[in-house]
Amino acid sequence: MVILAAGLASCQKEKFTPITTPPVGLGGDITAKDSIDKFILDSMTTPYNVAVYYKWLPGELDFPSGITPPDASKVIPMLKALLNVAYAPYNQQTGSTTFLRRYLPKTLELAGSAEYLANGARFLGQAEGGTAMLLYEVNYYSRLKKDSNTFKQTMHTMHHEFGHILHQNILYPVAYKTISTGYTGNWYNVSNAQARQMGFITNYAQSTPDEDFVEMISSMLSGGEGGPSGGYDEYEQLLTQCGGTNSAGYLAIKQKEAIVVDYFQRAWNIDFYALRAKCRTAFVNYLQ
Amino acid sequence: MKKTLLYILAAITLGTGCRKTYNDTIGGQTPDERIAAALAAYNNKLTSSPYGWMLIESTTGVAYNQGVSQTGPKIVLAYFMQFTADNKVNMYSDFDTSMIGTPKSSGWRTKALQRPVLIFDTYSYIHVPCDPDPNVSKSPYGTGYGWGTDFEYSFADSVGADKLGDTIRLTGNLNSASAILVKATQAQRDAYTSGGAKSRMLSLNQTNNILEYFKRLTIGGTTYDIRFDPVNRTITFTWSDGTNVKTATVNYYVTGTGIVFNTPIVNGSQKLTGIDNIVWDGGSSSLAVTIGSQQGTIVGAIAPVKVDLGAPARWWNYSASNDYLWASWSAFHVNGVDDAYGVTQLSNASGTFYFYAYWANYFTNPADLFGPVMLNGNSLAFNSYLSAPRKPTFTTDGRAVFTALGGIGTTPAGGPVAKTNAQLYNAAGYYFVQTGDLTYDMVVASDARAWISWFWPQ
Repeated sequence: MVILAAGLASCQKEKFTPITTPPVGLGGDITAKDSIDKFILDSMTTPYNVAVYYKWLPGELDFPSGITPPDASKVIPMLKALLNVAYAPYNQQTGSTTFLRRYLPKTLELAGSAEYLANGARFLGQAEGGTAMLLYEVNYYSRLKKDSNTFKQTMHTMHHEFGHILHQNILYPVAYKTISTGYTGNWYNVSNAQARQMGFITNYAQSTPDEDFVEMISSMLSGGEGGPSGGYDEYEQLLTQCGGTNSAGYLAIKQKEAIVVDYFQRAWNIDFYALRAKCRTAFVNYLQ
Repeated sequence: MKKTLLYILAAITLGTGCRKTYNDTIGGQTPDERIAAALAAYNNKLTSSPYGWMLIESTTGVAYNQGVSQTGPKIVLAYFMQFTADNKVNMYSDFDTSMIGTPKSSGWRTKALQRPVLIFDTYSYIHVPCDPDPNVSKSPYGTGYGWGTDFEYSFADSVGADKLGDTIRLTGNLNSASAILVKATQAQRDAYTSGGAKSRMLSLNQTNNILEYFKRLTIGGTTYDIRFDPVNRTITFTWSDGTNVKTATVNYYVTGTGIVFNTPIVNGSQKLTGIDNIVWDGGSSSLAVTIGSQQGTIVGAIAPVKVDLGAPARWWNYSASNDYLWASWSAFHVNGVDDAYGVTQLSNASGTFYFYAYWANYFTNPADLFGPVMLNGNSLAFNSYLSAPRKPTFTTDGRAVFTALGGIGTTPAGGPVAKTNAQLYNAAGYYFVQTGDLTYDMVVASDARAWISWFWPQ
C-alpha cells in the first residue's frame, strides 16, 4: 500500500496545462454576423428562446440525402410570416408570448428544398422529440395571393409540427386512436379526397394516429376564407369532400375535431375555435 | 505465491503508470490547435486571392438521395468565385446564361468534419444543379436527385493547408463530385464582371443560325462535323481518318476565355482544347471561330464529313431483330424549328400524342410502321391512322430511302401526320448519324435541314 501510494504520488507530478481556446466548432461554428443573424436574435431568440439555423449544418439533416440549404434572401421573409401568421394568433389567444416561449421547440432548422423520399413522397417538415423543428422548402416561400397554396402549405407544416410538440408534451386522449382504423404506411397511394371519404382529413393523416391528430390541428388552423379561385381550401371546404354530413368519413372527422377542441381546452386552456378564427384572419391578411 | 504475483503486478502498474512519456502533440500543438490552424490557413488561402478563384466541378455520373444512387450523364460546370472574410462568396456559374452574367452572394465557411471541409452554406448557383427538384435543377436523374454535383466538399489535397499552391482539390461529401479551385487572374475576373463570359456563352447559340444538321468546322486544314448538346453539356466531333469515321464526345464548360473542353479532342497531331470565341457573319452565313491561336470557320453542310455507310441498316435491323420501335419525342425538326409539323399537339379519339414511332417489319406482309403513339389514360396505343413504309432501300453511299406501301386508317390531309409522312418519303432519303449506343439522328439527304432524333424506349 505504501509503495502504491508513493507510485501514484509520483505520477501526479505531470503538469496540467488547461487549454485556453475551446476545441474547434464547440458550441457551433463562428461565422461573421449579418442582418439575418441580428433579425433572428431580436425576433426569435430573445422573445421566444428559439435558435434558428439556416446555414447548412452537415449531418443535421438526413444524410445521405439530396437536400439544399435555404436561399439567405428567403430567411427573414419566411420568419416574418411565421411570426405573423403562425405565432401571433397563439400570443393573442393566450395573452402573452409565455406559452410559445415555453413550448416552441428550441431549435428551428430551415432547409431550402424538400427532402425527397424513395417512395416518391417528400418531407415538408419534421419535429424531433419536442426540441427541434425542421421546415423544408424555404426557397419556395412567397406571400403573394397567386402562390397562396404554397403559403398555406408552409403554415400547415408549421402548425403540424407544433402540434407534434404539443402532444409530445401532453398526450391526447387515447380514445382518438380508436376513431379510425386503417392506418397505413402506404398513405401516399391515396389521394386527399379519397382519404376524406375514409375519415382522414388528409392522406398523410392516414399514416399514424399521431399524424392524424396533428393534421387535424394544422388543417383547421391554416387557410382562411375567400381568396383566389375558390378559397384557400380551408377546413370547411375540405369537409365537403367527405361525401355528405351523414357519411362515415364526415362523422369520423367531426369526432376527431371534437377531441382536438377538447384537448386544447383541457391540456392547454386554449379556446381552439377562437384561436382558429385568429389564425384565419392572420392568414388572409398576410397575403398580398 | 499470491504475494509475489501481487508485487509483480504492482511493479508493472507502477512502471507503466509513471512512464508517461506519450505526448498527444505534434510540433508542440494539440489536435485542436492543429485543426484551428489548418482551418485558419484554408480561410486565409481562399480570401487572399486578389482576383478570386475559378472552380471547375466534374461529376462522376452518380447522384445520391436517401442512400440510393442513380446514374446519368456526367457534366462539368465552371464557376467564378470571390470569397470574403465575412463568410460571403460572390459567384457566377455557366449553368445558364443568366447565372454567368449576374453574380449571386451567399454564405461559405470551413469546418472540421472527418476532414476539413468547405461548405457553401446558403443557396447559390452552385446549389442549383444539386437541387432535388427537377424543375429547378433540370436534372435527368429523376425527382429527388440533382446532377450528382455537391456543395459540401472535403479538402482533398495530400499536403497541409499552409503548403497549398494556386490549386486546391476538393471532393464532394454526398456525391463525390470532384472540384478544383484555381486562382483566377485579373483577366479572368474582368471577363465575368464585364459580361464577357456571358457573351461567350451566348455565342454558343450562334451555331443555331446554321440551319443544316451538319456544322462543318474547318481549322488548320482539317474538317470536322460538330454537334452541341447544351442539355447534357457535351460537344461531339466527327471526322474522317481517311478510311473510318472517328467521333469523340467531350464535356464542355464556359469560362471568361471561351468554351473549354474538359478533355481535348485529339486527331493525329491536332489537339483541340476548346473554342475561344464564336462570331456569326450573316453575310457569308458562317461562324468565325478562334481555337487556340488559329482561326477557323463553321459553315452548314448537306452531307456528313464522312458518311457512316452501315448506319441506316444498323438502325433498321435493330428494330427488326428486337421486334420493337424507335421513338422520337417531337418528330421532325425542319429549317430551325423543333416539331415543325406540330405532332406534339396531336390529340384525338386515340388519345394525346406521346411519341412518334418507327417499327421495322411490324406488319407481316411485310411492311414497317411509321406513326404516332398516343397516351390514353395510363396506356399507350398506336394512333388510329398511320403510314406503312416498305423496308427502306439502303444505298451504297449510306442513305436509307423510304417509300410508302400503304397505310392504316384515313390520314387527314394537311395534318401533322400527313406532313410527317410526306417528309419521310423525301426521295433523297436520309443519312443516319449514331449519337449514342441506342440513339440515332436521321437527316434528310437533300439539304440536311430536316432531321428526326430516334431513341430506343426500352
